[in-house]
Amino acid sequence: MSRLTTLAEPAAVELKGLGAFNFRDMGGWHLLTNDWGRYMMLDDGEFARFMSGRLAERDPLREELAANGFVRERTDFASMARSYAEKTAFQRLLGPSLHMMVVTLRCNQQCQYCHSSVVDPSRTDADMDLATAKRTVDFIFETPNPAICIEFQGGEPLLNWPVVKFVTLYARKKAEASGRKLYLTLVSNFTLMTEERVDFLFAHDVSICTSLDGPAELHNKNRPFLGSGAAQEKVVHWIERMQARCDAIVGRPFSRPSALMTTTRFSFDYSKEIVDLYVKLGMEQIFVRGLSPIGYAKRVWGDVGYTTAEFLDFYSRTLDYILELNRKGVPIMERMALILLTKIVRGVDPGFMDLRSPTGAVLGCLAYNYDGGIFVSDEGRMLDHMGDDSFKVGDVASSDWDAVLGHPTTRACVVSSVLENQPMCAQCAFKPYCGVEPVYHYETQKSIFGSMPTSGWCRARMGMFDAVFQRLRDKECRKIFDRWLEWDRRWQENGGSSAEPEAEAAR
Amino acid sequence: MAKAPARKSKPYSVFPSNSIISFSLRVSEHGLEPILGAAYLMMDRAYVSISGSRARTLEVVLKSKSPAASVELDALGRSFRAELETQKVRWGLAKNNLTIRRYIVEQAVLLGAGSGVPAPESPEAGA
Repeated sequence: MSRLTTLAEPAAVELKGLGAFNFRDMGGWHLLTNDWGRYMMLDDGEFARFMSGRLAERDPLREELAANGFVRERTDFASMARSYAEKTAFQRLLGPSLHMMVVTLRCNQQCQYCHSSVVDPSRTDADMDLATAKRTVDFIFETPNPAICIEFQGGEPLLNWPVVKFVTLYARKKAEASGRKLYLTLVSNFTLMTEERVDFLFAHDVSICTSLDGPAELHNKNRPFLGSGAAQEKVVHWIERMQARCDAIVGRPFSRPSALMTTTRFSFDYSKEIVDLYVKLGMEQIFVRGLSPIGYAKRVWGDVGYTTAEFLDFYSRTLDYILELNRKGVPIMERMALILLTKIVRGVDPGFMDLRSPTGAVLGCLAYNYDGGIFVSDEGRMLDHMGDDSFKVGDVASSDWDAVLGHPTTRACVVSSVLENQPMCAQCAFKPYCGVEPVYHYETQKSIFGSMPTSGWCRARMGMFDAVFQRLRDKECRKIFDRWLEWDRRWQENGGSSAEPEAEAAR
Repeated sequence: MAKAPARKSKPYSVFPSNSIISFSLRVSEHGLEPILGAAYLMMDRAYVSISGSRARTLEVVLKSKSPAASVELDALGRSFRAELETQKVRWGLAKNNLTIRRYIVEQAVLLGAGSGVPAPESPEAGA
């Protein structure tokens, strides 16, 4: 059967009383979801009774189904409309909130999955100059979203520290003058970090995110220094150093550095060791991110890549270990699960651009190359580096926001990523929480629409949704997930940016 | 209670030498969207071609992506029929509730445009 799953044979179905929903056989139970973001988990017997119209009028299950919009004649229109409005609030935003600035293509690491996407540290011609940086910030403040998050990326952004400093100060000044909320994030490998730079970043409230793939032998294999040398030790040193400084400042617990890991085939044997390291370092979260076969990673897929099934096995094992630690009182969260849970349980959008319908490209985020080129996303920019500028939608020197928004590529990305336009997605039980990525499908299937039955993107996302929903049905896991969601809610209330860092780590 | 149609045998032809199984399906009996939907969902396992008349009869040809003998082709055929029957239910749910879905989306849009939207919880959503 297809990944959508089929009904049991023979299935008695009484369509008349059923509301609008999608369903999925989860193996022993069925998941029901509707466009309004509500979900129900029924065992197979309950599902069969409901579908065949054999649930008694006063059956508590029927009441619950009705309250969540699954019973046609008892649909609470106002409640469902409120849920839908809240779930899709991002669709009413006026423009992107996440702006990824590639301040240099230079990098001093030669990561297995990225190293041709960057250039040698001697190539200063691949730095963003101050004039371009100023124009980029001016363009960003032309976009209409009142909340702006500028993310410094590279290459290694610390190789162009003067521009990082300039943009920080200039953007802060513009935000103050315009009354707009500004978040700043630095994504760095930490190898060029200094106390003075930390002073500056803390003083100007710049969030800091790094890449930590795991224990030294794994991290240094994935992310070696150019020329050799150990990178992991520097990352660990600076995480510990910054945490100590954060903890010494009363009221700054939410400024602690965060880290992202990228899964290569070398990671598979280190599931527990990776999590243990994050726990040892006092990290609140670990983001188990898969590698996408796009950009440079596509060329080296045979060396570092894996099948979707292999990644999903790794993801599930890692998630289970994290849950096991939580049961023992060790507070560590998995970020991807938390993103999905925010959508599923809380019914709100967590700002993760890849899982939006339509996609976050342009509507939620923009990427700015060192030379001022504007791209629909960082993935689109990476393609340009490989010689394909299909996803370029402007230039800070000559384009205005209206031109970028109305660009044919922008419109094509939007149309192709509305899940109602995707034949398989439209019927998928994960539709209310999912999204598709035009750049990924352009790269892997030569179509911005893609073909979901054979899409690795779809297979991986459905696998992660399966993993999370299976555990959500477990009462003990549910309690842990609720604690994660409460932590995240408090983090947001304390000023955390809602835009997920894109971070070059996952290239 | 109306029972979903049992998965009775459909007219089909098997060509093991070419790893092909083909179905001739009356659109009035199965519906256009369920036929197209079921064929689309087979694309991970088979190369699919559709010909014929959208108003009368469609021929769906499935060529297995791996060499397939009669047994495998029968399994492919059963899989397609299961998809087709499930597609009828999925499309039935969608069409029966089209007006309701449209109304709720309209109400949500109006809520979003006015002041009745629940307070967003994140800075970005609050923008």
